Amino acid sequence: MSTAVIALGNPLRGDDGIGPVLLERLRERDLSPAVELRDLGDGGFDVLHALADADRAVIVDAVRFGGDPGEYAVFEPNDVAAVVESRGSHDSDLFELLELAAARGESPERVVLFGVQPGDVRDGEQLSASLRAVLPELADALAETARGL
Amino acid sequence: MSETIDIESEYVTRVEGHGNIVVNVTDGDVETCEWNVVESPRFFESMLVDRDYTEAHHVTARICAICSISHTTASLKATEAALGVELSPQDERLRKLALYGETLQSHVLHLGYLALPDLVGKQSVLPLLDSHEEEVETVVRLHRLGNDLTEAVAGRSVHAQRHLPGGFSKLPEEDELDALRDRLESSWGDVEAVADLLLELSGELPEFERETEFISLTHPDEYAFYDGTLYSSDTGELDVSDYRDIVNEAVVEGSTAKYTAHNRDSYMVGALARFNNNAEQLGPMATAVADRFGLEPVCHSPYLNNVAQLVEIAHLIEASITEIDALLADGLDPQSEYHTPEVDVAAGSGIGAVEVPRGVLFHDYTYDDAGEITDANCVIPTNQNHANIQLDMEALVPTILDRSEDEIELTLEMLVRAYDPCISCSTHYLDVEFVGE
Repeated sequence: MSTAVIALGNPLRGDDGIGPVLLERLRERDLSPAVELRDLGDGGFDVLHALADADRAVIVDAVRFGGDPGEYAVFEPNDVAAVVESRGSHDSDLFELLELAAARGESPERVVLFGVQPGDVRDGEQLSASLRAVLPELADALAETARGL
Repeated sequence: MSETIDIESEYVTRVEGHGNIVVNVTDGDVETCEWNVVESPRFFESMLVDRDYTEAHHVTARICAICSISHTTASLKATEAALGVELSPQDERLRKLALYGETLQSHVLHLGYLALPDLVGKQSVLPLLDSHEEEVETVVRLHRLGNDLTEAVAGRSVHAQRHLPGGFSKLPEEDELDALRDRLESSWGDVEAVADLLLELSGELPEFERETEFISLTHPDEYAFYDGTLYSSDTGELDVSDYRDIVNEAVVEGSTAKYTAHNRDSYMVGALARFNNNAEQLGPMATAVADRFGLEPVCHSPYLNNVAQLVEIAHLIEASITEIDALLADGLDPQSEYHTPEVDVAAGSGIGAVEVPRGVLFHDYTYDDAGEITDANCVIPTNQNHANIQLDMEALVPTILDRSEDEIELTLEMLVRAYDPCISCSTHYLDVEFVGE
C-alpha cells in the first residue's frame, strides 16, 4: 500500500510555502519506504497524476479555515462546502481535481487534507514567526496523519 | 440586433490569472469594448536584483507553474549569455527535451481542460467524463507524458531541480529516456483521437479573421523553440538583441500589464505565430494534422491558435523522439554526481529568448563582477498578445451584435481563451515613479 504526501504551495510567498517546508522536515525522518513525498509546487493538474499513483494520500497546503496562524486542520474533501467559481490552470479547484480523479476511478482509497492556517502570504522566503514556532509539532502531526491513513 | 448590451465578464474563467471583458452597447452603438488585465503586478524583476547567478532561474521559475521550465530555460540562457558560458551539445538536447515536455503538457492542458469544454457547451472538464470519457482519458495520458518527459530531465515537472548555469546537476538514466521514447512513439493514437474530436467540434470555433503581424523565433535547422533569431511576418528577420525596440512595451489605461506593438498597432505570438512563420519545418505527423484541418500559413483567425497547438503537440512528440534518438545514439557522456559546471564569473549582460507555450519569452540580465544581478527585464508572451486581443475584440464585437448577450459573452471569452493567456505571468513590470519626496 503506497501513501503519498503531496505538498502544494509557493516557498516565495511566505507561509504559502508551509507545505514544501513540512515535506522537507518529513524527508529527515525515518518514514516507511511506502510513503512517497512529493512537492508539486503550484501543482494544478499535476495533482491528478500524483493521485493516480497512490493508494492513500495526504495533501498538505496552507489553508485559510479561520484558525489562528500555525493551527492545523485535518479534513476530508467532502467536509468542504465551498466551491471556487474561478477555474484557471493555476487556480484550478483542488476539490474539482479530486472529484475528477474519483470519477476516473484513479483516486486513492482515502484522501485527507492537512491544512495549516497561514499568517502572512506576502512575497518573501521566510515563514512567519507563528508558523516557525510550531514547525516541529506540525511535522509530528503530519507524519502521524500519513501513518494513520 | 441587440439594441443594448451590457457585458461585464469579471475574471474570465479557464484562463490563468485575472482579466475582465467589458462591452457596453447602447442603441446599437458600441460605447465600450475592453479587455482589462487586472491581476496584481508581481515585481519579479525587482526580486532578481542582487541575486547570485546560481539563483536567478530558481526565482523566475516561480513566475508560473504551467511554464516554469520555460522561465528556467530563458533565465539560464540569459545568464549563460551574460557570463559567456557554453553548453555542450548533450546539455542543449536535454534542455530542449525538458522544454518540449513542458510545452506538450501545457498545450494538452489548454486544449483538453480549458478550451474543449467551450466546444461541447460545458463549464469545465468534469461533465465531459459523462459524454467523452475516452477522450478525457486520452487528454490525461498525453498531459502526463509531457510531464514525465520534463521530470526525467529536470528532476520534477515544475520548478526544475537539475537545471544549472552551464548544464545539469544530474543526468537522466538512458533506460528512462528509452522508455519515454516508447511512450512517445505509441502516443500517435492519442494525438489522432484528440484531432478527431477537435475536428468533429471545430464548427463550434467562431469564424473570425483579422489581419495582424506574427512574431516568433525562427531557426535555419529546425522549427524554433529553444533558440533562433526573431522573425516578423511583416518585416522578416529581426535581431534578438533589438528586442526592446521590437516589443515596444507601453503602459495603457485599464491594464496592469504592459502592451506591445511592432509594425502595426498589435502583433500576435504563440503557436499560431510559430506555425505561420515556420510551418514548413514541422515534422510529417504535425503537417498531417495541419492538413486535416486545412490549416495553412498565413492564418489570421486567432481561434485557430487552438488547432495550431494541436499541430505543435504532434511536432513536439516527433521532435522529442529525434532528440532522444540523438542522445541515445551517442550514449550519454557521464558526469559526476551532483555535478556543478564551472562558471567564470565576470560582469556582463545577456538575453535569453525562447519559444514557450504562449509565444516568445525574453529574459535580459545584467551582472556585476561578483556575479550578482544589477538589472533584469522579462518580456512575457501573454503581454505581447494583450493588444492583439483588444483589437480583435474591437473588430469582432460590431459583427456579432445580432446575437444574444450570452452568446456575445461566450464568443469573446472563447477569443481570450484561444490565446491561452497566462495573465499572472504577464503582470510583472508596471513602472512606478514616485514624484517628490
